[in-house]
Amino acid sequence: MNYRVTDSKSSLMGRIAVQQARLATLNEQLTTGKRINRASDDPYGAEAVINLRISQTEVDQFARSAETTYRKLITSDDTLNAYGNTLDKVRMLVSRALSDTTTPESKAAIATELEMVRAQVLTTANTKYGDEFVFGGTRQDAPPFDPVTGIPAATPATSQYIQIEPGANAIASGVTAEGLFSDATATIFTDLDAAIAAMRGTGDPVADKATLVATTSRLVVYDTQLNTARIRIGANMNTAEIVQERLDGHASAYNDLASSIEGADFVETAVAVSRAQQALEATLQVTATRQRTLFDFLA
Amino acid sequence: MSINFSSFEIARRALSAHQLGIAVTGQNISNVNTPGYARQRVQLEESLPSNVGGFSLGTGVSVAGVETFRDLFVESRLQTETGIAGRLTARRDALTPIEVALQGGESGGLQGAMAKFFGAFRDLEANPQSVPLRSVVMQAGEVLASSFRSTRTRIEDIQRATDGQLRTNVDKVNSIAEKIADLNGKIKIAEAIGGNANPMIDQRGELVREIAELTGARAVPNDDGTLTITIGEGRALVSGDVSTPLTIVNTPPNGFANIEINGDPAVFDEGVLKGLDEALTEMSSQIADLDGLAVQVVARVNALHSAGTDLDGNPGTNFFDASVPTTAANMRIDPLLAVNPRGVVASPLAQPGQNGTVAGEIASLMTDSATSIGTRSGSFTSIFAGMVSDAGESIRNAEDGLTTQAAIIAQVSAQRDAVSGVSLDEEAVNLMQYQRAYEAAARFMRVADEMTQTILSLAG
Repeated sequence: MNYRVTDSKSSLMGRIAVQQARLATLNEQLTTGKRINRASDDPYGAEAVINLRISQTEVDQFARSAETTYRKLITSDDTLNAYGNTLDKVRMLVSRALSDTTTPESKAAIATELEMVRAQVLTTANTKYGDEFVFGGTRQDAPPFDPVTGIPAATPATSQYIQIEPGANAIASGVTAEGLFSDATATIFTDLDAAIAAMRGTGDPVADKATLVATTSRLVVYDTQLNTARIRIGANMNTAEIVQERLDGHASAYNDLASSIEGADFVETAVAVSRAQQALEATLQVTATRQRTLFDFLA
Repeated sequence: MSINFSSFEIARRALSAHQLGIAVTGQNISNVNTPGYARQRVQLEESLPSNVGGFSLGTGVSVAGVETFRDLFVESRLQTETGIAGRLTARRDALTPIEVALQGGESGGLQGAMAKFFGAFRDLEANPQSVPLRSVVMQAGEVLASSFRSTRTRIEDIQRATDGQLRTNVDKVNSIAEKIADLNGKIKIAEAIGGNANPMIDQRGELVREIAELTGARAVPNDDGTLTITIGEGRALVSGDVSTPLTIVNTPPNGFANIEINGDPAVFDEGVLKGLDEALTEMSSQIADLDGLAVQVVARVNALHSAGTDLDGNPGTNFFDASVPTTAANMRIDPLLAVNPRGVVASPLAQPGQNGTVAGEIASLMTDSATSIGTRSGSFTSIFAGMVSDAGESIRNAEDGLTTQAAIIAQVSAQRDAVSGVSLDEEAVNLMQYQRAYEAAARFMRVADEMTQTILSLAG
């Protein structure tokens, strides 16, 4: 028996609704540029995108830490570069004071200049980056050396370490003043104080000369400390720079991957929109066409 | 010679039968767009012959009844399929706002707040001495806590609205059940006295379709013309002309509706009520997951934070308030810490010196995969991503199910239309047939009348 065809319009209405829904989805994809606009569009894809975006955020965050570390290191490096020049100046002043041709008056003038240099070194040792003492390491409640007397802070410090890469060892964001401006025997300030006193004369010219000679050899110690510190800082700067570049690359890869999952292919979507529009128009046209029945022919 | 008036009777019967045929055709044409209408047809039969002068002579046509075209199997399938579609639609519509609540739109929602909070600790790790960064950490902590609170509030709001929908639909079911019971009574009487119950049967059919969509109920026909409407476990919503109303019991702790019938929990196999109930259960589990996540975030951040030292060298306190059991609804920064950003811990050192190890450890919690909440395990963010994905999957499944269901319903509806639907072409043919037959019967009556006139004139 043949299937009876009747005049019900319900299926046509259903088809219009389906076409409209399809067109709305495609339009949303086209205007947002995303294939996944809500989790239900592709639950597994959406979960992957969330996890990738979190990884990207984490990597971005580490890249920021690497950048901060690099800035701290470059501040240390710049400061130490100036400190190197200061040491050269100290060496020159001590050499001049050691010269037999230098008069006591000239020595006193050199001593005054050395006093100013000593103040510069003290400022250098207590340099700050934001709220932090650059050479304070983990001790940040007091400057490395007393700003007036130059006496070292009571609490010992160690270097600050910052993790700049997930899962990797933290790197030192600087060096401490202890290893730069002092050693087990003395600080640069006590050495400079002794040299200044010797230049001004203690009444014992032989002992004064010996003090200045000793200062010269102490300067070699500080030079060595400076060079060691700059090598360490330079190495860590390189590490921070390389890590930052690597992390930027990772972040960009995560972003590309997430975009490839959630992004809509523009051309493909545009073509699909045009097709969906045509299909809807055709359905509407069919619905709008007055279907003739036998009644039309009976008149 | 006698006059035979039986021809007049044959013509009269033919005229009235075909007039009725035209009326039924008109009824079909006028209901071509009426939902639930089943087409009708006049059943004609030959009248019993009379015996005249030893001959059996026909007495014309008589109307045996008006037949309605219904396929009970197809009708029952349509009810079942409509019930499934009702459940899926209700489930999808109730859960759709949840995924928006979880994803949080352009601002990034809870996921964005977590990234910012743990990111702020990462910044603090690199600048452990900074007071401004401590303020940033505090702000990010407050944003995270308020994101937890607002996400939970949104889900609760959606849950309350869904509960309201459930209650409205229960009222609707009770009202429809009453109408079906009423129609059952009328149909029973009409069929008992041989009246035309078809319009009432059509009306009842439409109501049964509605109640099936709402409750997944099944309709079982009885010999007296009534329908028994049953929900899950065979409990009768309508039996004869009596309907049993569904009742609502407010259940602690939220006061959400529990549906009962005759004092026992009502079970629905399909239908809107089942869909809404499933959505409510799912929302409760989403709230529990969110609470679990809040508890873990608070506990793990507090454990690290309280073991370190603040900017002034004081022992660390809790970062988040732990004075009352944590839920996503009451998560907030510890009130004492909230007014003292210097209290934010970055360092593990007892001395008032700073490095950022603790801040770094807190920052690393975001992707530390040692957290487990119920059946979920992983990092805070991957657990949350799983929650978003599950919510999306529930909706996707309902959507996919609905697409399939729409196709099934279209097919069953087409089957129903093939049996019960009105075809205007057919009706045009019927109309023509009845009209021509009526004209012919009228002509026949004129011939019979002329013959009678002829005989009468002979007598005159």
